[in-house]
Amino acid sequence: MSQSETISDEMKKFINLKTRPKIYTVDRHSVERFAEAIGDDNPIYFNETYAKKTMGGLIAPPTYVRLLRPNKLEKEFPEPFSNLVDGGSSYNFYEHIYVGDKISVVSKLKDLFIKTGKIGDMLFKLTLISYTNQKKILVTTQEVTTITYGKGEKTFL
Amino acid sequence: MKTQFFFEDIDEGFIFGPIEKNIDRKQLVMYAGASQDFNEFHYDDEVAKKAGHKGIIIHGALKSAWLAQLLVDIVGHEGRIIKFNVSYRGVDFPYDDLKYYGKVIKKSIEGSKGVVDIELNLENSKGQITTPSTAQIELPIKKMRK
Repeated sequence: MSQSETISDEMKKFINLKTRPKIYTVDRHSVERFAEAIGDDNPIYFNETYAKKTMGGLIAPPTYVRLLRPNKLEKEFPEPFSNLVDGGSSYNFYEHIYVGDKISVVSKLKDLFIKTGKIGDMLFKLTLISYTNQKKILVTTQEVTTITYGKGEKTFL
Repeated sequence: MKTQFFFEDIDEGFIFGPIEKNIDRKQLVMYAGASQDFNEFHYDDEVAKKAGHKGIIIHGALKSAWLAQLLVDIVGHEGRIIKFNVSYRGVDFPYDDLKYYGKVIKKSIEGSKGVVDIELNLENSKGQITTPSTAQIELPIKKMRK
């Protein structure tokens, strides 16, 4: 068993740092492509007339925000591990995202901790991402748990 | 089109689904492109093996998109999803027979709103729950319309 990994002071400095807002315009084709990729043919994503009548316009699927990636921080996180898994997400939905919306995305590292399991030490990162529309309404938040583990050749982006 | 579920239509223990999925590599490539997640362990077996998997793995976020799709179908046009929490306890692979379903855990009326707590699970072909999840949704109440 290798020596236990700890959260360094250098890593702790990243907690609560916010990324610069990144603004996306939600275009119809990206919504259609996303819905097709998840295998969802719901007309609220494809049929303008139907969507207008039922939802007030074409909307994006709930997890479409995965496409709206935040900016990176200016400094790179001192990542100690070489492999990554997505641990999960916790979403709050307040308003729909409509085609044509301009969504501002900001990400903030909330917490870091180490757990030891079968595969050795794992670093958990909790990141809170907020999505705000052009009317300054917070439409969605997503808290992501990212887990990194293992040493060796890096296998993630 | 699917019919609208109302708060009164479902009781605690009601099951939505199951829905079956067996997806191919192409679907993962489509999702990689549509979500801009180009981590190679979702489409390159060698990289997936280096990361300790038996082969390419399904994006966790794609599994969550399926569970969210089930929620969208439940809430219809008149309800909405309030919260959705998903954890990826185990990885899943293309060409495996997966299924997922939701179960009503709790119902409550808050003001004029019908709030329903749902537990959702995605299982692999061995019956292991790889992707447990919970959600809270709002459904329209029939009697409020009269």
